[in-house]
Parts: sequence; C-alpha cells; structure tokens
Amino acid sequence: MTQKKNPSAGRITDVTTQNLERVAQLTDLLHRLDNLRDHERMQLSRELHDTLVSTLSATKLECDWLLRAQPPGAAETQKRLSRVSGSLAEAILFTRQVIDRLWPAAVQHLGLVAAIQGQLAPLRARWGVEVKPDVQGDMETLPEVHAMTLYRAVQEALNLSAEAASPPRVRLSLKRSDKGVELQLALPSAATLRDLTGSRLDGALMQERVLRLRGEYLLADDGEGTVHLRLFLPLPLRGRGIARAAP
Amino acid sequence: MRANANASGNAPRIMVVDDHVASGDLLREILSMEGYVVRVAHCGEDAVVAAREFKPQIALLDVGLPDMDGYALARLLKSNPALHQIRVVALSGYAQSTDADGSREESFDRYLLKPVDVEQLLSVLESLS
Repeated sequence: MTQKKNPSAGRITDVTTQNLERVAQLTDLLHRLDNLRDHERMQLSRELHDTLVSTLSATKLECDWLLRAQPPGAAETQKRLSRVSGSLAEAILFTRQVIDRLWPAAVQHLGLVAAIQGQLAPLRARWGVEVKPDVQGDMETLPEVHAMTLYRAVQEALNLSAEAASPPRVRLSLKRSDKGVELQLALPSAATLRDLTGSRLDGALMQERVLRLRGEYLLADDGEGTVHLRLFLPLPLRGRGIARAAP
Repeated sequence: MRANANASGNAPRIMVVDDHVASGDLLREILSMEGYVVRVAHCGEDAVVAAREFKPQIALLDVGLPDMDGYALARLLKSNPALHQIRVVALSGYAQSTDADGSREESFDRYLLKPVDVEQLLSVLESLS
C-alpha cells in the first residue's frame, strides 16, 4: 500500500524575516524620497528667490526711479507708474509667500521663535491682534528637522486663520523638556478640524512629518468654535542645533 | 530733495550694501536724486573696506549677503571707532517682530521689509540723518 503524500508538506517557509527586511527597505526608500522632495523644494525656493524676486525687486526700483523722475505735470503717467509699482510689490510678496511655503528659510536665518513671530506679524497688521507665544526652554538649538516641522505646523494653521472673517483668537505655546518639544495652538473655528486633518495637501504633509519623527499629533474641537492642536516631537539624545545661514 | 545737509553744509553719506547689482545701483540713483552722497558695495568684505575710506553716516544693509551675515556686518561696522556714530538700516525679506531677538535687534537702528517702499525709506533716512 502506497502512502499518499501531503502536497504542501515541506513547503512551509517562514517569511517573517523577509517581510521585515522588505518593510525596512520600503521605510528607507520613503525617507530617501522625503529627503529628495525637501531638497528639491529647497533648491526651487532658492532659485525663485535669486532670480524671480531679485528681478521683480529691481524692476520695482526702476519703476520707482521713473516715478520720481517724472515732471510735476505728468499726473497720468505718475498714477500709472505708481499702480505698476504697487502691483510689483504685491507680486514680490506673493512670490515670497510661495518661497516660504516651499522651504521656510526664515527658520535658519532668524531662529525658530523669531521666524514664528514673523508669521504672526500679518495678524497684527490685518486685525490688530497681538499674539505673544509662550516660549519655555531653548528653541534655538533644536534639530533643524524639528524646528522646520514646528514652524510648518504653525504656518499651516495660521494660513487657515488668515481666511477667518473676524479677528482670530490664537494662543500659541512652545515648551521644551528633556523628553521633547511640545507645541500647543488654539485656533478659531474658521480653521476646521477637517481642514487640519488632511483635506489640504499641506495638512497631510504635516502629519506625515510628525509621524516620521515618531511624534504625536492630536487635534480636538472644544465645540465652542476653537480647535486645539497639540504636537509633540521627541528629541534625540543629542540634538543637532540649527546651522544658521545668511538669508 | 530730501537729504538734510549737516552743519558743515555737506550732504549725508550713505553706503548701500546689496549683492544684487541692479538693485544696489538703482538705490544709489534714487538716493542721489534726493541729494545723498551714495556708495554701493556688493558684499560684506567690500563694504568693510569701503566704509573705512567713505566713512558713511548711514549704512543700508541687505541682510542676506553672500559672504557675511548682515547682522555680523552691522556689528563690525559699529565696532569700528572711526564709524562709532554710524546708523544702520536693515533691509530684509523676512518680517520680524520688534522683540523677536534682542541681540540681533541691537545690530540695527531700523529694520525695513523688502520690497523697499522708497517713500518709507526716505522718511527713515531723513529721521536718521
């Protein structure tokens, strides 16, 4: 009598190690793609600054020169030159905003706290709202990637607040401890939970960045028109300080 | 003409430091039209050398210079005994809160946001000269 063989016998393979290796490879690839994306954004922002902004600025000055060189009777020409100068100023500011969103070089040039305070300046200009961040601990020696992530979180949230129809009530605190750095932000209702949780590309990218740093990203709506954002980033044992560059 | 001549009847001397050649030259032309005596430098090192000879009363610095941080250049100019009364105006693309950083804030007497508003710039220069 011949014994039937189990067709699957001897074919069982433990793929745990292979899967773990594959996950590690994919994670590594993801990090490299993220770094490449950041590098491209940085390059693009530099090129925009060095070419477009410089050219627009020089053209605006040229226009201002023409404006001042006009004889007193040339009212119509003065009016039109003044309008062109104003449009160029708007184009420069807009391009700077795009550059800042691509790569927030202000963090490197000014330091995290000053760069965040610079972001708050438009609130003062538009609404007369003075937001004083509550800063505890040294923020200037944070690793660059941490500082950039915190800045971008504030940037995205404030962009949403800027769309508010009434003066936003923004509260912002930054606290550094031995374990990490924590950002807390309270925003008006115009910045909805949906906006901040990924319906916008930048919101989704922000979440990704936080997760990549093994951080925590919590959002809550108090039901009274305010969204609370808490972001915690653990710090490596030896944090690399921000290498400050010339703007 | 917006430049106020000093007690000896001389027009104020202004040094413009901007790495963008066209912008620096245009600022010189505009300020010269207003009666200032202007010299332009395109990097920090040239500015330090030019300042020794030109002895500007006011320096107009682009904060983002290729070879030197504008803050460092401002401190360098102010530390020169021959220029102890120099007033330094920063031109920067980054909005900065007045109390953002005391140590860097001290480097400059005024801080102007780019793009330069010529009227605002002339008012600042008038108040400093």
